[in-house]
Amino acid sequence: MDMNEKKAGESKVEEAKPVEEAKPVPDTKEGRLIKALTEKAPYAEGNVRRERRVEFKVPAGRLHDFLELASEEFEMLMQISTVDWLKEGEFELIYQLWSVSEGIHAFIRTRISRDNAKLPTVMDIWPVAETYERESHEFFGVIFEGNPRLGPFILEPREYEKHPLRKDFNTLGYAKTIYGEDFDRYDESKTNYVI
Amino acid sequence: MSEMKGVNENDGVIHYELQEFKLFEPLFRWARKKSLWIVAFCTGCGGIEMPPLANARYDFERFGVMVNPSPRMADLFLITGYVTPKTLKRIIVTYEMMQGPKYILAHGSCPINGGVYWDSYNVVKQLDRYIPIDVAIAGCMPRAEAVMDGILEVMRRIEKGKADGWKRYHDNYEWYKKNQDELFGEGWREKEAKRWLAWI
Amino acid sequence: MANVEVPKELREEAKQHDMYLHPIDKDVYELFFGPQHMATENFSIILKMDGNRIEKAIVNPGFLHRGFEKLAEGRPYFSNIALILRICVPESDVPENIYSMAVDEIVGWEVPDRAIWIRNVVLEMARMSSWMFWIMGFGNEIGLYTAGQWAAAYRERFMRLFEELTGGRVYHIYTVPGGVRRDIPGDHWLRQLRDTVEYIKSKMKDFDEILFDNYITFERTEGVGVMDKRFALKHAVTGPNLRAVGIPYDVRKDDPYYLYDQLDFEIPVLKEGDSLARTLVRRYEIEQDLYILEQLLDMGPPSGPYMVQDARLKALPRFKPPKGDAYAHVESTKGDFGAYVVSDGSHKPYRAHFRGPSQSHGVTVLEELLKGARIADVPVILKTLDNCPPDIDR
Repeated sequence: MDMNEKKAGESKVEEAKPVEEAKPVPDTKEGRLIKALTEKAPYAEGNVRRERRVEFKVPAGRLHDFLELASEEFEMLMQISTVDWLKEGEFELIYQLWSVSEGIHAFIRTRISRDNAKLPTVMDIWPVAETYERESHEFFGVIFEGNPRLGPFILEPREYEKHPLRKDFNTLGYAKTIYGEDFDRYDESKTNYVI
Repeated sequence: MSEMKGVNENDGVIHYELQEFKLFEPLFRWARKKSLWIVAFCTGCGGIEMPPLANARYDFERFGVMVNPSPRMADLFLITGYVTPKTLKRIIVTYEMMQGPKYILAHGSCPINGGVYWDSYNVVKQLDRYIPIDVAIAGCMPRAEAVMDGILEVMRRIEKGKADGWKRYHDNYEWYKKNQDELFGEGWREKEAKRWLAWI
Repeated sequence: MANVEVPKELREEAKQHDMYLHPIDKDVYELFFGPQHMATENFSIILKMDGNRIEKAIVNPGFLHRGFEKLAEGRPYFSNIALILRICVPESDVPENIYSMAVDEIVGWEVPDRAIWIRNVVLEMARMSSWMFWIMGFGNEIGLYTAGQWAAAYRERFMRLFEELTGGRVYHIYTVPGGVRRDIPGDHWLRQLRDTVEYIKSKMKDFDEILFDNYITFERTEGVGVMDKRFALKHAVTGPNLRAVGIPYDVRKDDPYYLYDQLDFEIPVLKEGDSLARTLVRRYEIEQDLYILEQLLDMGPPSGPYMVQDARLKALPRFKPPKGDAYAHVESTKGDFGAYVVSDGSHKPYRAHFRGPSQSHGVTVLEELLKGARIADVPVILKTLDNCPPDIDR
């Protein structure tokens, strides 16, 4: 797999840098798609990562409108990924969309604050988002307004309250409080039945 | 483990068998070892090496072993790999539904000390504290021949009278119950298992 | 509980024949299609039933959750391969490959041609052994155990080849970012692989007679669990399930990776959207996969190194890729399996998120398709959707 990227530079996962100059979007299928969407929604910034990968950055308040616009071209919602940036105090949510007619994958990124993480649900556009939002709520604590089934789904209530995938949850320390301190110590009484 | 009572009593007859049948004990052991039925509960990764065992290559049906859906009719419980607390509750209830004599065969290094998931918040380390294990097979995951060797080891132990996991569970029930309650919280059966089982 | 009134015409008609019709109490009870079951693999569904029919289904996953994404953040990049491949047990090469593809894209190096050929052959072999596993599960649920036993035996042949190549039957730990870990053992291995492919091709007509062309299969699967196009797109259905609805989406054609743009194969598409269509799409795909393996073997492995030669690999546990993120996806037998990896420049990944196909098939789609079905249809719908519980729980 050789990575001949059409544009210089890789896109970095940071907050929006101050724009030096607007990078020109190339005139390929992906570029035309970005132009069409950003004309209808000027609050979003888009760029082309490589062939078949495009990326948009949207402020959290306009997310639902942008996703409705995008759902005409990108028919399937594949996943909602959450990344916990502890140092900046923000959650970044990435909606991964796939367009079956064009064959292009889109990342749609937003940032919300860590302490009061709330977003509107997208269940009315894609019913499958219910499962993805339940999982994101359970592991990180993001509240999606309008989703009727938020609650313990994969985890039991005792682990659900701690929201385990956050960066300030120490999994080894938690395991030691529940299962005892020396669970990986060699136990001689086991040699008589291990083959 | 040192607080367990002595389980290898020398006459080998426990208190709830009829004393008249002591003479026939070797015959009973031969019958038990030649007809082990397995509960159909695939608890983890290692369950993928169970269908090859039932096949023509590593046939276990020639030893009388069969897979049966009902726990009331089964003798052998294969714990195939790692165990999470949510599954452990069902395993304990299924194990108690089986009728003695019953044996447990644990696959892999995860029931012994946690295995690859040693720092996970949702995997039980040291399964031996919650239910009694008779034979454990090392490996990750153990090959089909190793599982076959494990079943043969269970059969050898039954013949010598050493496969006494069910007697240990019965005699030391307070110790096991204390460990289970520490993990799940006091009274977990009445609160949670009552939802699943009609007779509690 | 409400009493159902018997209509007047039926009562008159029964009186003529000297019969009396009783009203039945309509009662809804809960049935736990629980983890201890031969059809589901440690996965539970709570069914609210009215007699024989299901009114509502609630899926209860979480029995297999080990916290992979948290554990992957605590191990270096190359050690993660030994951990994440346990996400999808029947085809354990797929999580290895998507993780390696994502890390390759972040780093930006060029994987050598021989490694790409070997990775492609290993992926296709994993697909074939997963098809055999699916036939075993599906045959056992329909009640045609002969097909299941044959398929488990043919799967053994692939496991023997994997054992000689990688050292393990089920868990291979073979594909790493940058290439593969060891070379092909020799020409005899390629000859044995070709013999296996020929052997299975000759046995497909036996499977047809027993399982795919059988009246019992048609009766049990026709008209059961029907989806249409709009439902499938809104619920993110992928893989053979989507091709049984009429949409020709296959990752190998639409977003080609490895050598698939040089190979010649077709995508079978049917349009009814019921369980029979899903079964037949999988049967045609097995033929196409055998054809792909033959073409790859005819191409032959290119010469060269099997692992990228890079100075960064000399400092192996402390291998540090640059900052970035990437998404890679692959067509597995169950659907579209994807991985999203974020790196922040240190020697451990910052976030590794996996998207298994059963996250949409096994939860939302299953709950919708089970409404109105009978209790005997539940294993058929489960197995034709090809639900794999470790994908959901990770």
